[in-house]
Amino acid sequence: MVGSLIRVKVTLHSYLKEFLPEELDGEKEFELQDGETIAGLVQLMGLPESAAAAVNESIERDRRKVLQDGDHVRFLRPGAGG
Amino acid sequence: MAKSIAGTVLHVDLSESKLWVEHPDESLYRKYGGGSAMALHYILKEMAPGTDPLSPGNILTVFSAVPTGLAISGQSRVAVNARSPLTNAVGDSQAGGFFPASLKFAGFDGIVIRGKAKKPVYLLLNNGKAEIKDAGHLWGKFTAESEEILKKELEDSRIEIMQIGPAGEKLVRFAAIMNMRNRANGRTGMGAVMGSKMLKAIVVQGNQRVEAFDKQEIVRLNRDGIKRLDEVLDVKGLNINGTGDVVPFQNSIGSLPTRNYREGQFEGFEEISGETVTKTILVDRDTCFGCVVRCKRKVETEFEGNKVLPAYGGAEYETLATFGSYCGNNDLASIQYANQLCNAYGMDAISCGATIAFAMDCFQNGLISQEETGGIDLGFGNGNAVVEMVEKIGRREGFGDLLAEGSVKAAEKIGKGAASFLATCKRQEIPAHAPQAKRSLGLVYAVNPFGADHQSSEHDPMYEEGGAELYFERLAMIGLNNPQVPGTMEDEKVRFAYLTEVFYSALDTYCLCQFVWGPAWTLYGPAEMASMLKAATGWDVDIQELMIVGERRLNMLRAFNAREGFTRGDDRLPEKFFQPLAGTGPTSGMALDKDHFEHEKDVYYKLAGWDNESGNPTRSKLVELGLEWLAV
Repeated sequence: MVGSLIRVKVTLHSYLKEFLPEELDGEKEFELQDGETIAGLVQLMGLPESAAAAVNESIERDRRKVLQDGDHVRFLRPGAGG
Repeated sequence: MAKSIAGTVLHVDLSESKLWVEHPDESLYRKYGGGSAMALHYILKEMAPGTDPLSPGNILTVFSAVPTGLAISGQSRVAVNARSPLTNAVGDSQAGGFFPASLKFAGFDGIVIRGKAKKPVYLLLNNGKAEIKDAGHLWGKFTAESEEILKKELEDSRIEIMQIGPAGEKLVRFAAIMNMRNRANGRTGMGAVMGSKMLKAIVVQGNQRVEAFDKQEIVRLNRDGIKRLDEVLDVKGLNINGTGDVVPFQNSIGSLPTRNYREGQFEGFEEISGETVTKTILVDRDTCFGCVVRCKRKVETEFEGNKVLPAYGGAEYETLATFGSYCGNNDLASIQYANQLCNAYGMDAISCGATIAFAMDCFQNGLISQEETGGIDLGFGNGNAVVEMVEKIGRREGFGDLLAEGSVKAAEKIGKGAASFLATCKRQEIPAHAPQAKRSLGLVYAVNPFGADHQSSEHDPMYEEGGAELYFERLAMIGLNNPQVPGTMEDEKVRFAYLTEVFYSALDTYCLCQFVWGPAWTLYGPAEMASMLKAATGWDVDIQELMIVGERRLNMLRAFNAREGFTRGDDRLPEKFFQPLAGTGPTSGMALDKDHFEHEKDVYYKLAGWDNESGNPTRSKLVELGLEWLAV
């Protein structure tokens, strides 16, 4: 049985942009199975495990977090600054 | 003498126009490494307690270190120390560029400067020789102007220059010392000390080689570093977007100071990010001597008809945040122009931006009027006002004259409860990382001997669950084996704060870049740092020795403060951090807890072996570190 689909917007920052074709400039909308998690999205995109994730502008450390239709997910480099 | 050491320290008495050299014993270099520890060896022995920071009695030091000038990334750094006119505590600032390596090429490891010249002068160091030269024609000039004049009159375009701009001459309390027009010994007002001595510049030229004991090992480490540029992902991010690369992450964790730390997220974060800089105005990436990381920016744009020139570099993360979100300002061109003004006048962009943000908060709350600001609408978000205030501070003109004193002195003058808007520790403005999000960094802001600083310990996310294996492998090398739940501040996090502070202290002693050498995310880790120093000198250096050297420096800084009357009570955070943050994001509504913060200090002092009541080094700790001469 095929579940319903959700749409999420993904923005890749820093070196992570290389995980999407250059012309997309790090941004892509995905249609995912309802119930998809951050971990699933990381796997789907082939991102490094150390990439930090933020959902709707707040850091989300729980990789089991279930994504919702309309979510904006950012993958980021956790940095120290300077 | 170990091969990588010049073996010569230049001593200067500007009051007497006297110069002499010293050739310290090799054991002194091994004990203190260089940098600010070497500096404090001289300052603490010679300078009387209670010395006015802007008087001739203050001693200003410029030191490279044992590995400076070798052909490997992240070694070209220089430490400047003196008593700080901003904090009245010990002053300490670090900068990169080509000047540090060139100081060694000119034949010197460091310079100890006393007294005050009768008229503006500069120092010229050339292949082991030094002279004091007239700088009357340079006084009042912007940094790029002085550089051009000096290169022309000395007929050498390869000289490196460390100098003050007009802000240092006018004793702005957070004046910086600049090299390459865009590298700043920024923090703690060392530029004002240089200005008080009527010393405009230090020029170095020379072709003396810095050799290594084991050249092959340095070559191997350097080649490894080049290979790793693509593998160590955090460093790759630095290369692509510079330090401003972290803006989106900072925003996502609620750590991006917004409107004078009222909030931890900024709605305009994308406009001020390093990525936007890369996409819109970046013209080149720049580097320091021998470094493959190339984290520095050169940008070209325009603000209100004024050109932003590549020669003045491009704003770092701290500058993007302090003139940006800290001031509620999303106008990138105004931030870059403010950065250029700071580099031209010679001012610390962190203290300058944060002081303007403080004034904006006072303005928004009706504590100061538009009449008092000289007609400037200092409301949050006004990029034009930010730029105008930077110029006024650099010239000490109108309301800028008050802000040039730093935000604490300005608050004292403004009164009416203005102190409640301060974001300072030991009178130094707090950098752009919210302690509600980075709890251990909040503790380090408070206990750091030279005031709030973001480069004196590793940041919390590196020791939190979910981090990269590389971070944890390296942190384990300094005894940190228990990554913490994100956002928490248990005793283990205090241990993380202390041990990484000791490691960073070693980095600042050996004058190594914290974006290349470090305990977690950098190009090289602790074991390689020990290997590199061993290869440089032939000494049998291990990680334990690095930690002892770092601890020694930390205790020397702290001992300086102790004799000036600083105690545990000075290790405090501003009141505003104990009030809930407004705005959005994960830190919204978060406040630090005073009782817990005091507990953190108890744990920290115990780890450091310091007296819990005074917060100062004990006699036994100083003796243990070979600093019995400091034990009273």
